[in-house]
Amino acid sequence: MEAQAPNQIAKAFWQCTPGMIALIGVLISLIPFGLVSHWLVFPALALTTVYFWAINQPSLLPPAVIFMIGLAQDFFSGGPVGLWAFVYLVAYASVLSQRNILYSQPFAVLWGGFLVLSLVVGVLIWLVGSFYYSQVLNVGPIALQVLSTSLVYPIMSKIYSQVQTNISIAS
Amino acid sequence: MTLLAFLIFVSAVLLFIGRADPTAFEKSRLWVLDGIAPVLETVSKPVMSAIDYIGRADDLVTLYEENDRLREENLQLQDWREATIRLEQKLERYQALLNVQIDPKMDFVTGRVIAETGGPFLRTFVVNLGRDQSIENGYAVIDSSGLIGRVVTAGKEASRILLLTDLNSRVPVFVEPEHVRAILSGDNRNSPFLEHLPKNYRPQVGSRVVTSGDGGLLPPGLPIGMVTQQQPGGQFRVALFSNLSQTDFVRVVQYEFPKVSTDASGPQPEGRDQEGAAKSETLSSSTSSGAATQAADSSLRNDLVE
Repeated sequence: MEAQAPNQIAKAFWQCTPGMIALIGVLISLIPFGLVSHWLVFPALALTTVYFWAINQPSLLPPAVIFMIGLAQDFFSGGPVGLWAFVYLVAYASVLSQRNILYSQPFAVLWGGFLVLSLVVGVLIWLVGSFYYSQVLNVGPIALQVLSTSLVYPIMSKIYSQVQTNISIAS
Repeated sequence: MTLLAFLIFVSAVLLFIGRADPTAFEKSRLWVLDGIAPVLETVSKPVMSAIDYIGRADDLVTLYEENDRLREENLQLQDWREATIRLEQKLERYQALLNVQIDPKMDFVTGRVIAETGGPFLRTFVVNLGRDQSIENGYAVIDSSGLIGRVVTAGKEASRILLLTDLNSRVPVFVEPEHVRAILSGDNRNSPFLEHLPKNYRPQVGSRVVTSGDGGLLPPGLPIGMVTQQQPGGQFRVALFSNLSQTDFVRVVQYEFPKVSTDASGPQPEGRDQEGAAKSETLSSSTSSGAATQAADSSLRNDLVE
């Protein structure tokens, strides 16, 4: 019984990890790296979290957690409230609908799937943003964010795989 | 799945509410900003130190060239200093002569950038200054080179700055030397553009752009940038004097515009010292003396030509 307690704590810790990583990703995007006047746009790290866990273990990243992460990003960044929550949840729903196809595919296919998802999210952000601000938004920064997010996916995927392994061990 | 659909619906409703009433989430934003500010401050410090360290290593490479350039610049600045002092003295004399009371009282508070939002359609900074330091919404924010934006959300200990390059930024400006009025608008590109220029007016490349103070939004005369080549779409963009990617410390300009008094004694600028107030006469008397104004104007022009 006593030996099980640390295991329970370890299990609970690892089960919270996907949501925590997404939240840390949102906080990292706020660090003043000086990208604000460069052509670089910080990747939407939480989107990589949503994609990976929606395919591999959706129970560890329930919709309520995604909603909170999206809202946190909206409030922290000072942008339209509900935008990122809406975008992440739509992305989550889209991936869940294709989960049977994507599950156990080789990494190259998964990366390709993520690129498609990033493009869809980019278009969605552009549409919703243009509607919100009542003007046609500049496509450049959105396209760059799609690119940067797609490029960091392999690195983030490695981290998530390691977390998934640790969760399996703890379970 | 039902919960997922419900949350998507809730997010969409939040978006609609925010669009219909931009102030709907103002209190929540303030609350979140105050809550997250200590975390941002803690997280940003080591990162800023690391960036600063890398920057210093870069500086070492160009140390000699930089030293020579600064010596030369220093000589030029000494000449400029003398000229500025002379002009300042003349300006003070003429302002006293004309009873000019247009400049707001300005104070500065210096703070550090603790967060930035460089997402697809936002250009904002968060600084570690808030209402505790008497910061209010609308105050201008400058760095060592010029205006960078204005305060849009003043929390208790942190504030959000809307940068000039942001999509929502609109600042009334003068294009010098003609003193032509325009609006400087951001569109998330690195250089904001000039709007509402007079018809058939084409600003010269290199013309300075400064705040006009129109609408009582920002104090007049704050340097912003220089006009660049006309863009293919016909827009004139302004290259900012400030390098936003290197901005770490900023100054918030605290100022009070003179209030128009309904009193018979005329307008008295708020917050001015007793001596200044004692010197001031009514604006109507100074504007009625047209001949004196013209004489002073032409004299000032002659001084500037000299």
